[in-house]
Amino acid sequence: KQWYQRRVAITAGIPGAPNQKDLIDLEATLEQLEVETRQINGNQEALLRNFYELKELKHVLNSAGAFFQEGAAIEREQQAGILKYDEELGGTARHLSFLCGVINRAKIPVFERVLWRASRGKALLRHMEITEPLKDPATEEEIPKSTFIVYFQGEQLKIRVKKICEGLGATTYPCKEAYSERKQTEMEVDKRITELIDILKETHNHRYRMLDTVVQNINSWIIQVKKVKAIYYTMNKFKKTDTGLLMAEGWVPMSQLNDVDIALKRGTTSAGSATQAILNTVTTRRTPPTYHKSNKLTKGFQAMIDAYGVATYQEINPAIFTIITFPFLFGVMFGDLGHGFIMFLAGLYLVLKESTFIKKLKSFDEISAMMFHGRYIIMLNGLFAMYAGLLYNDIFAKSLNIFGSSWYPDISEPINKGIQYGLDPKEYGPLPSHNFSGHPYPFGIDPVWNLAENKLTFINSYKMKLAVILGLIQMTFGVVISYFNYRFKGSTLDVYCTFIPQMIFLQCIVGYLAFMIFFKWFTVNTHTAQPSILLCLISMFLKFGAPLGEDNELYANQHIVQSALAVMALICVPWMMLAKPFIERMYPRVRQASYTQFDNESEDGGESDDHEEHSMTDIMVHQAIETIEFTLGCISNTASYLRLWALSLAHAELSEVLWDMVMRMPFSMGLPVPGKAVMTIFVFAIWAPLTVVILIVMEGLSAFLHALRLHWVEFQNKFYKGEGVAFLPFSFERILNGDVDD
Amino acid sequence: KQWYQRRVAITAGGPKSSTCLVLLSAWGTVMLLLLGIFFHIKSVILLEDLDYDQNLYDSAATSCFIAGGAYLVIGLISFWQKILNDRYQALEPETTTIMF
Repeated sequence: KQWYQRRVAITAGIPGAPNQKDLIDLEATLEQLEVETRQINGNQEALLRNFYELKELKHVLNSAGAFFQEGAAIEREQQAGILKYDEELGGTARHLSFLCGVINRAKIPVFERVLWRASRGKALLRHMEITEPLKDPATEEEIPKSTFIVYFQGEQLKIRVKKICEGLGATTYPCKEAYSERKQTEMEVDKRITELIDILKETHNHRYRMLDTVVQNINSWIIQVKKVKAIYYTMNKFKKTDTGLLMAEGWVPMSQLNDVDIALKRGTTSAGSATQAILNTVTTRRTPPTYHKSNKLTKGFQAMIDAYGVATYQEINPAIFTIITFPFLFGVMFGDLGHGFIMFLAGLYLVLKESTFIKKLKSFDEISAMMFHGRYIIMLNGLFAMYAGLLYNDIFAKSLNIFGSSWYPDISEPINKGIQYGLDPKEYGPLPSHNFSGHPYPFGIDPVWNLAENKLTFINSYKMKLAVILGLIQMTFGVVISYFNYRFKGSTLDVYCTFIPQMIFLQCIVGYLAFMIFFKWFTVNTHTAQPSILLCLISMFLKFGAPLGEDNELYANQHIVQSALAVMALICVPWMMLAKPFIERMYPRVRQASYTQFDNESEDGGESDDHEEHSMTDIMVHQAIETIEFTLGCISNTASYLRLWALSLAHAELSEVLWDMVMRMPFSMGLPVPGKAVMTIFVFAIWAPLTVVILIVMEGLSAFLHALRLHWVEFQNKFYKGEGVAFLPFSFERILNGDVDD
Repeated sequence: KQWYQRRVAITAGGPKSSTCLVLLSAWGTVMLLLLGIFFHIKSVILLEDLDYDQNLYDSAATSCFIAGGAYLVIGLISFWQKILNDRYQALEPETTTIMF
């Protein structure tokens, strides 16, 4: 019943922020609770101390019996004249005095030594371990203790021994020698111990009940306190005007000005105040924070972009394109129908169950929470990976023959291992009598390649060219976005001096490369040696103007076309570097639009003054850096896109190795069917987890990371400034989630 | 207390392992079934797996179907275990988490 009640209390909603009166009540309640708890703890400690003392006394009484037997033996020996005693004792009672008590076991050697030295060997220490564990009442840790008894003669020695005991923290207990008296004390002690046990139980229950009532409320108290604290912290940012009003400045999205107004009116009426709260817009030259509206789908992608840098105010938001380009590039690098399907199912599960997971989100550890927040990303990644898998015709390292292969080996006997068959596409015709049907496989790579020895030679070339083409498309898109940014700012200077030369440079070199790729794909070259595209590109610059020779050219007069393109590209470099600084110097007013509309922290428009620091050298250097970055970036970023090929190759190879080494085992050994079946069961149980861990999780993370890098660096350095500040409005939800330090 | 003791006796694993086993068995059933069908229709892609011996197609197909059936059985058993685990988990009291 108790836990059920506790459960009901938790599922109640989040409490609102308390007002003044409630706050005072809460404070009083908490103070009282504190006093009570301290009291109970103190009581418990005192009771425990008493309890342990009694226990120690009981042990002392128990071990006293054993000690006294020894003592009696010593006395008998004395009487037998074996022991000598000092003359000091004279005729006084030869009976040995003793002190008994309890000491920490660790201190016994020290105790012995000190006693020996202090008594000059005339005190005798006997000790016995206490087997029952005794706890320190304050800290509740177990301390091993022993009972001891010290025999000595004379009053002086007694005082010294007592002092030593005190010094070493040993507690002495009075103990009678006579057996009957000891027995009686023991019975009394037992009675008191049982009483104390009952009292301790009572105290423990009382404390438990009291804490139990606290448990029901403590979460809500913490929330209330956090909310009030946040409110006061924010209110501290208000300024007090002369007329006794509080004033604050802040940022509001223009689309929600109305809502804020209504909320203010609502607040005024609920607080019962006479004066209305007034909302005024103020013009300022400060840069506003950036606010992108996002829903549950776009939030993940926006977070990925913001992790690199929040968009500058009113710059085009790359996150919106990322929603499709990111999963697409991921798919190109992942490229397996089977693995993509599993990833898609995982993402789909997270998406379908999102309402249940959102409630449990707080109990997730960091990695699981991150996976949950990225559920739409995972689902889309899986979907696009399936698409790429269909194109690469790769499902768990095997190919699917959906449409009928376009190739047929020209052999009459069954295929044997170790013999190579070459399939020649040059003479094509209807299939059984020709190797190649003349019609390519309708969608994706022909399944025959899965069995081909030279599979990688073909696939590598195809994927590398695909990577360059995709890279060109994304980079061109980036440059085009920069055009739209310039147009929005109204900066025609940038359009003519930055966008156009950048575009021409990019297309003349990398665009021409992509053109050659397509050209080579579409034309069938009857020469025995196929011209290398890369050599063409290199000779475009290194062998400027020289004819390429028949074996090296794709089309007639290629060297003239290439020289023209090279010249155009080279003209763009000084255009990019020098045009803008010189025009700005000659026409200073043109400069204004090309910088941001807003200056940070300056109240009035200082047109000529605050651009003082942008001297001619600064602008030239800035422009030179940008030019070099862009031109070198064209080549290096294009090469960087080759990771699309590299990762998909790695994934395909890993997948193939895993199948060949693991899953092939039952079928390639010559086992009879029952053995084969059992082995299949076990081999699958090994192959499947390995697939998930290595190929899906590890390769998935890798492809995710590289796709993200391609977006952050190769795509965004064409247009993105990312110098903005995120718009973070006051929000109880964020504060309670611990996202904000207050 | 009685049902608690009973729970320890009946379910072989906890909630996580029974879920894992259910998923693995589902995957195994579907995939081995399909693999069996592909072996049965003597798909050329799988020739490499049979060490280029074409006579092994049928035995491979049969063993795949048997393995698939075995995974189906394992899947049903672990699904039943999962249902039991869920039932017992629902009865256990929730502990308070204090949010700091």
